Order: sequence, then C-alpha cells, then structure tokens
Amino acid sequence: MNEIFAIAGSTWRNVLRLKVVYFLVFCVWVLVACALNYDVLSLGLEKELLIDASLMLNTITAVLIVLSLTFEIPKELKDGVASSMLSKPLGRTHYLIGKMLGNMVIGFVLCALVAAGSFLIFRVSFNDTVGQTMLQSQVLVILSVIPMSALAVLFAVALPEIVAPIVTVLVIWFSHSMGLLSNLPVIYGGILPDLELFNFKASAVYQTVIPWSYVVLVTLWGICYAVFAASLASLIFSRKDIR
Amino acid sequence: MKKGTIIHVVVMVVAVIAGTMLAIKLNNDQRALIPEKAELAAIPVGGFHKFAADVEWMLFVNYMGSLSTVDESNVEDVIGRLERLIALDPNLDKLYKDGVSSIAIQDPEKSIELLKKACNNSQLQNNSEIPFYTGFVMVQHLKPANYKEAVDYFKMAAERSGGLQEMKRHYWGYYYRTRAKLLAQAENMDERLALAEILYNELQSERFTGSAGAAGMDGSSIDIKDRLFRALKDIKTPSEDYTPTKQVLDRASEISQKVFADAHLCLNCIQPYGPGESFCTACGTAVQVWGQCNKCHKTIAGAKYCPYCGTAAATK
Repeated sequence: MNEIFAIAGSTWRNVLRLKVVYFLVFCVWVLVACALNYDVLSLGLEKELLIDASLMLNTITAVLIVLSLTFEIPKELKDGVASSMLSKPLGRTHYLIGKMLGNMVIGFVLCALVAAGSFLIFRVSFNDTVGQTMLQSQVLVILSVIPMSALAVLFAVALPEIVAPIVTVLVIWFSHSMGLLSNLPVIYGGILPDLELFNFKASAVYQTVIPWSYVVLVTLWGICYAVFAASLASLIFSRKDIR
Repeated sequence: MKKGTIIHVVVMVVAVIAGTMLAIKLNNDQRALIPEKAELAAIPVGGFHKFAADVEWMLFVNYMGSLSTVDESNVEDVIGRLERLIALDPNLDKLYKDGVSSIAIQDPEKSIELLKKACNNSQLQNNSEIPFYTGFVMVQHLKPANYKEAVDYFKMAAERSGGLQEMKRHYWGYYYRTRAKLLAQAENMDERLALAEILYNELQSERFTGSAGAAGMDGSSIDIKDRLFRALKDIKTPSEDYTPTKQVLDRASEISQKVFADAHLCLNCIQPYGPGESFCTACGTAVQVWGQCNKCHKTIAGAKYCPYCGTAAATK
C-alpha cells in the first residue's frame, strides 16, 4: 500500500508544484468571467452562461488532466523510468494504481480550484448565493475524474503512445451517449462507461434538485468502473514486455 | 492460469456486475430527474448540450438581429435554428417567448407545434406565459382560428399563474372570451351575449354548487361579477360596429336583474344610480327608487333610523 501512495504522491506532486498549472487555472477563471460580457448577445442570460461556461471549462480541465496520464505512462515506459521503478519490489498493478490515484488527486485539486473560483466570480458578479444544485453539478464534474483516470490508464497501457490520448478523448466524448445502450446489461455501465451519469450541467441552471444519495451512488459506480478498467489495464500491463 | 490473472478476472467480473447494476439504476434515476435526457443522449456533443445551446442561442439572437422581418424567404432557416436549439435545451423558456414568437405570424402551425411541446415539458410546468401564448397564436394567427383547443391552453395559463396576480387576469379574460366565441359559433348567437351567458353560468355554478371552477381558482366570484358587469355594459352600449337585437337586450336585462338586483343598476344602460333617484342620470330611463324611508319617503340611504320621522330600518 505504501508503494501505491509513494507513486501517487510523486505523480501529483510533480504536477501540482508546477506554477504554470495555476496560471492555467487563472486563465480558466478569466474565461469564466468573460461570460459576463455576453449580457446583450444572450438577451440577459449571462448568469446562466457563466454557470454553463464554468461547468464546461471544468469538464475540459478534468479531461486534460486525465489525458496527461496517457502521455506520462508511455513516456515513463519509453524513458525507462517505469522499468527502474518496477525493478524495485513493486508490482505492476501497484504502479498503475499509484499513477491513477495520483492523477485523481490532481484532478480533484485543480477542478476544485476552478469550481471555487467560478463560485467566487458568480457570487461577486451577481451578489447571489451559490445554489445546492450548482455545487452538486461541480462536485459531479470533479468526481467524473475517477472513471476517466481509469480509462486513461487502460488506454495508456493498451494502445500506442500516439493513439492512446486520441482514443481516450473519443471514448470520453461518446460515453456521454451511452444512455442509448442502457438496455444492454453488463455492456452498459459495466464494460462501456456512461459518463453522462455525472452530467447535471443543465440542472445547475434550472435548479433541479439532485438527491445526495444519487451523488453517493454515482461515486460508487465511478469506483466500480475504475476497478474494472484498472484491473483490465493491469492484466494487459502484466503481459507487456518492458525494457 | 496464474493466480494473479485469476484474481484480476474475478475482480473485473465483480466490478462489471456491480457497475452495470448501479449504472442502470442511476440511469433510471437520472431520467426521472431530467426526462429530456433520453432525447439528449442521441446528440453526441460530449455532454456539453447546455453550453452548445447557449452558443446556439447567441447565434440565433445575432441572426435574428440581421433580419428585418421573418418572411417566406427565411422562415425555414429560423425554424431550423429553433429546432436545433430546442433539441439541445428544451427547458430554455426564453427560447419560446422570444424565439418561437418570431415565427407565429409566418408559420403559426409550426409555432403551435413547438409551443405545445413546451407546455408538456415538466421543467416548464410552472410557466404560464407559454400556454397563454399557445392559445394566443391559435386564436390570433391561425387561419381559421382554433378556439376549441385555445380554451384549454388559456385555462392552463390561468391555472399556472395562480389566478390571484393582477398581471395575469387577462389570461382569464382570454379564456372567457374564447369560450364565448365557441358558444357564439355553436349556437349562432351574439358574441357579446355569449360572453355574458358564459360568465353568468360560471357565477351560477359557483353560487349553487360551490365548485372550484375557473371562478374559484381566480380567488372569488367578484372577478366574474366584475367581468359580467362589463360584458352587460358592452351589450347595452351600442357602437358603430355593434347593434344588439331586442332579444339580446332583453336577455342582458334579465341577467342584470338576476345578478345585480341589489346593485341598483339601470336596466337600460347598466349604470349604477344613487339613493332616491327615480330616473337614470345616464339615459333617463325610469328606475326603481331605493334608499327612501317607507313612511316619510325622504332619502335616508344607510341610516338605521329615519332622521326625519324616526322610523326604524324602514327603507325600501
């Protein structure tokens, strides 16, 4: 267990100590605040636009963080960093889980920063309180990092370096339409992910109340899916020839 | 098979079973919360439907700003944009009020089709303006006007508005007038009298059955009485484009006598007259005198005892 946390720690520390990351978070806040300028063009819907823009940009932030894993793992394998780590008393599964957890921590921290900044902009701009649904929608975006990180790990070990990020983005993109396959048990939600389950972006605007039990259950689903994807990744990784 | 592989496979199978069970439950829960999700899933925009709708909305506003009017040359384009917007975000009420209204004259059928969908949208179930506008397009822009269906939409609008808001009283006005048009068409009768008949029946049904009909929802029968008073006055006040027949006038007087017997109205012009007056000051018609002492015949309206002869509560 300590090995997993050691790898996870080094993964998130490597990213979170980069100043450029916080500059990018600041850029996201600026983009969110830009929505305020669209009051005329949106016919007075700038408040809704700001909420939507913050959720959209936070989702993109989450996807980009997850994508970094599809570059990092192949790079470590290519540079021999992974093989030197794996030569120590460390299992391949531990390595992958450590990478995944580290990436999740990065996702949670940076997405939480984006969300917090967006709430502050909203509060200052409209002198309005942040509603429960707004908070829940952002929490769900943050939680969506769990299955997405697992997917990134899976594709990072299963596919070549150039293909992995593209496939990861495509799978994340189209997994929002997986609801169409909800009549196929095992495949739906078990093998193919449905990231739309985390999507309550419109509800943040229309104040549809999301039960907290739903948030808990969707987190559980995310963990189940992450376990499946990580196990599959580990199985593939265990058969991989590492120099 | 290695032990490690077996463990991996077992973990995967358990995770898949748990995952699929949870996902199916969550999918059902989500669709219960957001019914439009089922339709949105078919549009592959990576879960960014709401933001895509925002962008599409601003493009629509920009496009509409470039048009001087919606006519035959551009109505198809406008409809296409509106349909794309509704597909991405069917809950945006502004879209119906500011968007669909733009095609109401050029293509009322399409406008009604889109508005009807919005009326059935559970997210917009508290919106009273959309059903009102649906009824409005049906009676004002549709050729021929569809009064029958419009009545239901005006009623829906009035019920959704709560009925007590002063601003929304015109919803009931449209509701009664549309019902009157229907009755006038069906019975081939005077439209103004039809309105009076409808209001009279509404008032009667509330009085005798205590039913919470349209009047009940409006808060009280005072509103209907007020409307009936104005409807009767409209009949009794002929204009350039309206001359009531004798039967219509007689029936209006009859209703007036039944409902406003205590209101001291002139039966000829539906103007109120004061105590002690023998003739209407508006039309000169003889009226039934009230507010006089039975004994000395002096005007004492409202007094418990006649101040001239001391007779107790002896007014007529």
